[in-house]
Parts: sequence; structure tokens; C-alpha cells
Amino acid sequence: MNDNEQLDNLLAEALSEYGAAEPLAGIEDRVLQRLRLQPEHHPWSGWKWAAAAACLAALAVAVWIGMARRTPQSPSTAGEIALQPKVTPLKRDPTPHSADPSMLSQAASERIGVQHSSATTSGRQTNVNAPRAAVFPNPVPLTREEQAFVAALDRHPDALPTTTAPGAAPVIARIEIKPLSDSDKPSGENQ
Amino acid sequence: MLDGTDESAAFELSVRQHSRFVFKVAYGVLRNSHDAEDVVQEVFLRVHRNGTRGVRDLPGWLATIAFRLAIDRTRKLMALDIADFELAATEPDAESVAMHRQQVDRVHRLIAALPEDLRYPLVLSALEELNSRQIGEVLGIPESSVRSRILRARQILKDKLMAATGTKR
Repeated sequence: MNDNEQLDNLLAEALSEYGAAEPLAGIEDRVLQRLRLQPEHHPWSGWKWAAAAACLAALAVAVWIGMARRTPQSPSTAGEIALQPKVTPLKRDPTPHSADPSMLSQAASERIGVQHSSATTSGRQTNVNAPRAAVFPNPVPLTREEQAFVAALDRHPDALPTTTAPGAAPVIARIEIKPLSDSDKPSGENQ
Repeated sequence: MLDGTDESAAFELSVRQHSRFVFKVAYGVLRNSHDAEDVVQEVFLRVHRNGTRGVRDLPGWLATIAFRLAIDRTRKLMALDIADFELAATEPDAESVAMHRQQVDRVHRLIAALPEDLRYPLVLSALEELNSRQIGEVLGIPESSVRSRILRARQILKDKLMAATGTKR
């Protein structure tokens, strides 16, 4: 046997130890025992949990939407704001301004009409639990400017201009319509 | 289609059939029985979790998993210092130790000192359960490369042994 063959044999013997390596007896049982101790795990168990979570989330959203529809809306919502009485500006009254100032203040408060927006009849539910007012429309307190105006009238009732007599029809100034002159014509018409 | 009981029985059968082979693959990389058995446990745990659906070559697939886990474990445990495995030319020759056994140990140390791309094909070729094609699949290289690397590894080992023992070709 030459040296080369000896080396080959030596190598083969060393490598055979890799192939002959044996675990301690009962490795199969140890592997199986460890697997039995592991919690059950299926490849689709992750999907099952994901589907359950999605269903739960959908249910929570549905419940939340249902609750939101049932509960009365807070005053801050747009629908409720539309239900609030709206103060209209003072209109010109044909009654003479030379009347009693106390009557004026009363008339002023009456003229500050209360109008409800058309949104009240647009299908929205009104708050039935709200106390019903004794006077309709609900009286609205005067603003600071209106109160100042009424107070001034109380102090100086003669300050109001009297242009017409009580019961007289208002005088409307005559309107004159003058013919157009050449200079009044728009420049576009000359072209 | 297998129900749960059949599936468990099939899995147990595969554990009993292949666990020793998986152990050898891991042992070839780790050279440690305890670590190799840990790798076997991990391999079958993964198989149990993921199943073997779509696997054509079960031994080759198991060998691939075992090899990769063993490599991971090797790299985690220690960075091999090749110098430690180099054969010392002036190694004391204890007369009490059998000469042959000493030479085999030298070969093992030389194998451990080989670069990885040569060592693993050589070690896996020692497992009779794996052919060149399967080794190539485990290592992710062509079958022709497996053969050439094994030849190169053997040649390097012979050269080093000759140099150490003073024999001539």
C-alpha cells in the first residue's frame, strides 16, 4: 500500500465518522415529546384570528353608528343650530315715530320677530322634551344697541323726526326719468 | 386528503424515519452532539408548524433546513478561529496514544480548518443519504460545483497531511 492510498484511507475513515454520527438513543421520542408540549399551531390559525378581529371591528363600527343615530344631537351640531330662533332686523314701520316712546319699545320688541328656519320642517326631529314657551314666538331680548336706542328715545322723545301726521299716507317723492344724452350712452354703442 | 389523525401519524413517521439523518447533517457542521440534537428539534418544530405541502424531496428539504440552522448556530456560538485547527508540525507525539487515532484526529482538525465552501460539500458527501444533486440543493450550488469542490478539498487535505507526516507523493 503506497502513501497515497494510505492518505485516502485515512480521509475515508475520518469522513466516515461524520456519516456514522449517532444521536443519543430515543431522539425521535424526545422530538415528538417536545412537539406535543408545544401549543397547537395550524398554518391557518393566523387567518382565523385575523378574520375574527375583522368581524369584531365591523361589529363595533356598526354599533357605534347605531348609537350615534339614536342619541339626540348636541346643540353644537348644525341641525340644532338651524332650530335656533333667528332674529330678523327691524323693518320700517308705517306707524308714526312721534308715538309714545313706551309703545315704541314694545313695538320694537314685537317687531324683532322670531323666525324659524325652513330646516325645522326638513325632516329633522325637534326636541320634544324641551319645555314649551308660554308666548309664541319666543320673545327675544333686545340687543345692546336696541336697548340703547330705546333708552335714548325714552329720554328724548322729541328727537324722532316727525315727517308725517298720524294716520296720513306716506309721501313718496316723485321720480323723474330724464332722457339719455349722447354723453350718457355707453361707448360700446358708438362702435 | 389527510385528516388530523392521519396527518399526525404521517408526521410521526417522518420524525422516526429522518431524525437520525437530520442529526448527521447538523453534526457534520457543528461537531457537537448536543447542539446537533437541538437543531433536529428545531427542524421538526418548523416542519410541524409549516407542514410539508409542496415538498417533493423530503430528505433533501430536511437536510437544507438542518444545514442552515446549524450554520446559524455555528455563527452565533463562535467565530471559528482557523489558526486553532491548523496542524502543528511540532505536535508532541504521545507514545501512549495510538498512532492511527492521532492521524484521524489530525484529519478532523484539517477538515475543520478548510474554508466553508470546501468543507461543507466534503462533510455532506460523507452522508450516504445525500447524493451530489441533493448536496447542491442544500448548499445552493450546481451539482458540478459540488463534485469539483469535494475533489479540491480532498486534495488540500492530502497535501497538508503529506506535509505534516513528511511523506512524498
